[in-house]
Amino acid sequence: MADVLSFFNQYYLSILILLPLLFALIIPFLPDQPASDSQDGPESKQAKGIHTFAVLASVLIHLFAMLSWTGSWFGVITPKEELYHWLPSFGISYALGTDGLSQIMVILTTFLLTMSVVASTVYIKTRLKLYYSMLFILTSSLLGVFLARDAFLFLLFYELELIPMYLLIAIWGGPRRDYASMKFVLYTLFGSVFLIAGILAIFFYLDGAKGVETSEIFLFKTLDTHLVGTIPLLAQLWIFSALFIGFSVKLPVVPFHTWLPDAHVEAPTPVSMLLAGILLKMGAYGLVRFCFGFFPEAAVSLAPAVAVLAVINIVYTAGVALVQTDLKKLIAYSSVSHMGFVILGLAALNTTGFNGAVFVMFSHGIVSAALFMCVGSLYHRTHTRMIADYGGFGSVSPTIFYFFMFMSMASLGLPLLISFAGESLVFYGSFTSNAFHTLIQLGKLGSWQWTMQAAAGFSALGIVIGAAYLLWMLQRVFFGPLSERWQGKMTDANRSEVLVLATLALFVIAYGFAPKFLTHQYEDVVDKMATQYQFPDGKYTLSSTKEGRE
Amino acid sequence: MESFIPPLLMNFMVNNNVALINPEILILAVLITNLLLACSPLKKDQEFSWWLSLTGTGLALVSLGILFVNVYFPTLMDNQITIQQHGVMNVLQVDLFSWVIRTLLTLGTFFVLLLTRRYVEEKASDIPGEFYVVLMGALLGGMLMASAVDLVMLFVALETLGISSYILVGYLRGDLKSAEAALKYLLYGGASTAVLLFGLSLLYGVSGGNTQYAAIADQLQRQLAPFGHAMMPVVPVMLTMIMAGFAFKLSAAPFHMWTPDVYEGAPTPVTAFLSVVSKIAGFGAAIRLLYLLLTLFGQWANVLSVLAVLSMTIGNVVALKQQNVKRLLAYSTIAHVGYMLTAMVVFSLNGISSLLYYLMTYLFMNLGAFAVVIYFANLTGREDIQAFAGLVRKRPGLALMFTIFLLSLAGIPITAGFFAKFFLFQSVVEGGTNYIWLIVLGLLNSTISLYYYLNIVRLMVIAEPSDAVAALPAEPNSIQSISSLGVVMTICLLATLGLGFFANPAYDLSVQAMTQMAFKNVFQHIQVSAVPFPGGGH
Repeated sequence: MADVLSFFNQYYLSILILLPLLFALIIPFLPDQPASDSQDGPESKQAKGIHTFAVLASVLIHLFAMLSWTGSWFGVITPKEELYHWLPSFGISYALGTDGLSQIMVILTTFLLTMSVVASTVYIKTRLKLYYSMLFILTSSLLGVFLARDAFLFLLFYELELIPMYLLIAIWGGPRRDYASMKFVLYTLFGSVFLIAGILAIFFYLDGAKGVETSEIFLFKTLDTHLVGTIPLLAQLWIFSALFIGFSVKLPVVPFHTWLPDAHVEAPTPVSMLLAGILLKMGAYGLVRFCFGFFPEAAVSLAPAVAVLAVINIVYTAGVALVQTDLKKLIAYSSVSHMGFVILGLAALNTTGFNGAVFVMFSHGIVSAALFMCVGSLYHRTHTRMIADYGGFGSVSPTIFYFFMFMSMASLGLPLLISFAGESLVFYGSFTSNAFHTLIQLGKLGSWQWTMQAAAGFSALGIVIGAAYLLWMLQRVFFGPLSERWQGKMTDANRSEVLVLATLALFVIAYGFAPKFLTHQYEDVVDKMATQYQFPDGKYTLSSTKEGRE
Repeated sequence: MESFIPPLLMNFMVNNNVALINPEILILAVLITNLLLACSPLKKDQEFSWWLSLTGTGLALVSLGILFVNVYFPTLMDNQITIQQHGVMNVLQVDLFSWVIRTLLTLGTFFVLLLTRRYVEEKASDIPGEFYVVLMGALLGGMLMASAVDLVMLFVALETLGISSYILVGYLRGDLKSAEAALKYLLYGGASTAVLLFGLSLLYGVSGGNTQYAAIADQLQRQLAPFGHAMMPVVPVMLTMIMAGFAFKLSAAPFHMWTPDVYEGAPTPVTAFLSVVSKIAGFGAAIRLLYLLLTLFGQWANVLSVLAVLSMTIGNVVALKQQNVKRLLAYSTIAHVGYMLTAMVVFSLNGISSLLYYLMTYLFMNLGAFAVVIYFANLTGREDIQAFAGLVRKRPGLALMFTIFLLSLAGIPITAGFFAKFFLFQSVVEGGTNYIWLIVLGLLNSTISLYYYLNIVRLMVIAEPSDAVAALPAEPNSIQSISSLGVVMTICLLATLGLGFFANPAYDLSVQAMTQMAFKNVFQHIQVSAVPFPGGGH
């Protein structure tokens, strides 16, 4: 038994990444799904079998991922770092590791995978084997992104996600799927150009630098310890900017966000859930790890710009969401808006801000997945996404109405629901931030010392607009008279949908009441990051993490 | 055995390391046998010529393997054996570098032979075996190009490959497109050869009448010393002509005009040969000669950067609009030549080693793609991209393989193409921050390229089956016809997926080859200052 446990400790991370890939390879060999399965017809036995297999597989993956969750119930396994010098002459290693931050992202990934697979049993009818294979390959690459401890490996997984996601949108998507999926791929690859350039620039400066082994250049460990001292500040600024642009395509940050509404609108519901829930978090995770984790000096100088971008992101996209006529687009823009809180929290450069940013990453993952599920359940029944076509659904679909309302409340930041904790941490962090302090000292900003506070204040506007578009949307969709068109045709949520939404709602409430269960998973990572940002005048003291918690 | 060889000849062979060119001798023997068979009154048999050539090429591969074990591997272990011992008759430098290139060439031709089998049988001309005679000639030329260290040898080898290629392109005598392509190729090729020859003759003049690289380097060094950094007026003319000549051969923009037409008109296996084998040979020769020139005239490397950027941009942008899959692969070849030229700009140890690694991966992914195209053309007789629509429903395996080859060409992980591109750009970065723009342009270009590669994938996987695909029988119709193509595709697939993961041995071999070749020995008396060296760049 002890041997088995130590084996799992040693190779747990690799197994975790390979497990979905294994399922992706098994699925094509399941019995064939008859070609006669149409969009609305009854399902064949084989199709049901494939669905069931996928659900079981995803649950298994999730349970396996939970094994290392540091809680009294689950912490069976303490995964060890894995390091194998893969291509030493290029400084490339196969290095995996985990910490609190990686862990909550992994759990989010596998959890949303399970939710998305259950949703797929309702919404996906055609070419099931290809679909589930792609979904599981996507999961593998996502897990790889969050567990990689080598910049090259990170990049490899980051780009690996591209093709499965492309096919998921392009095959099972809506009418304009060709355009949307290609746009998604090209935008992402455009972002990768900057990522690769940035990572290559890091290599250029670290290669041959004092105390750096060539074979270990891309290890996070090396970047963490040697980057600041070795790379000149100007170069750091450039690399930070390149990486920031690369990740902001994924996040997305205005003006690189235009792929997202298109991709969301065309993607099938379960894929939208994953896209909003986790794929955007890859960008956020990259910002946290790379930009703000490894480049503290550059981050201090560029934090004002990041804060301004954050405000634009939050307020502008909230405004755009307000005028959408397409329900799914509205939710997509609200997604972009919420991701603005992540970068606002990061720009604060203090523990509370970082804490909030990571919390928002998690909470938005759950809430946005649930919202897309709600939209999908409506679309599945009506085959339209135009808000104008809806109306009065509250009377015929009370369960969908209930969950949609509930998730909207969570999204607009109602206290004691999950988003509230994250967003209030971000606001608190940015309001108390001294991120501009060094610039003030240098006399560059003069009377701008209130900028960060102003940024926080403006962002609060985003919450107000958020409340406006969500409530207005709810009013138009669920209240009023039921139109002739839907008389007798509209049905309520079925069991699988309720299962997904209720599970998500459970977590919304649980972490809303006790955010500490989440924050204590990752706070050591965030604290360590924040220690890099002590400002030289002594006035700035690290804000205690206690304030940040409930 | 030895007693059969006259002592004089034996002495000559031993003194001149003739054993090192055993593979070439084998290929030559196959060529002559095929030629004699074609002229003899014996029964004409296309099949026999094919088997003979395949066996000969296979034996050449074995002989290369033996050479590696007996000659190069000990060299790797023991640095005392100098490269001078690898010289053959003072005109060939058969070192590890040339071993790598020759192995790639032979392997490429071996695959092309497997691809041609059914094609040539169906479109056989009146003289059986002729195709294989010419193909072996082309391979022989390419192999000699890789080792030539003498201007005359270089030119002869270049022309052997060139003229053979013209004939191969025009092999389909009844086909108007093939004839047009051959004529175009001949005219363009002839003109470019003339330009190159003019450049080489100037080099011959400038170096005081030497044809051997080492002597040229020596002479130039002495002649140029009094000039300091100022140059003799003839040098720019000479370098422009030589570079233009090679750019023609490599189909680098703006000298790429012939490529699409020739690639489209030529028989598809010949297109595969031109796009892979001929390019590898060209790079082999270019690396040797340009190394000699760039060590002396380092600033001229910037001309190469212009060629590189033009090639990748024109190649990728024009490829976006192509409807014919062979034309698309032609433009994609131009783009890939552009990427590879970026490594020539920096010309560092790591740069050229990455270039070699790139050539290795390029061999497999591009030949794999061509194998799929030929297989598909055999099935349906179509070459337009639209015909591939819905392929995954009828031939999922074929569609999957094509997808992987295309994604590798686009540089998407986890394929070897991704690693090759990454290493290439990484080595360019090492050359200094001056070249960062080159990398950004290269990366942007690979973004563009993904569009047209992915477009084919999209058609195959997503679109409704085209009439050509819909007409396909559910099961492969004849096993025999696929077997040889299937072998190529499978090997290429394994290599495309595996070369990335096991890049280390391949890359180390490249580094060793480059270290042994020029960077240490051939030009040992030259003070290398104009070229940035690995590790010394910053």
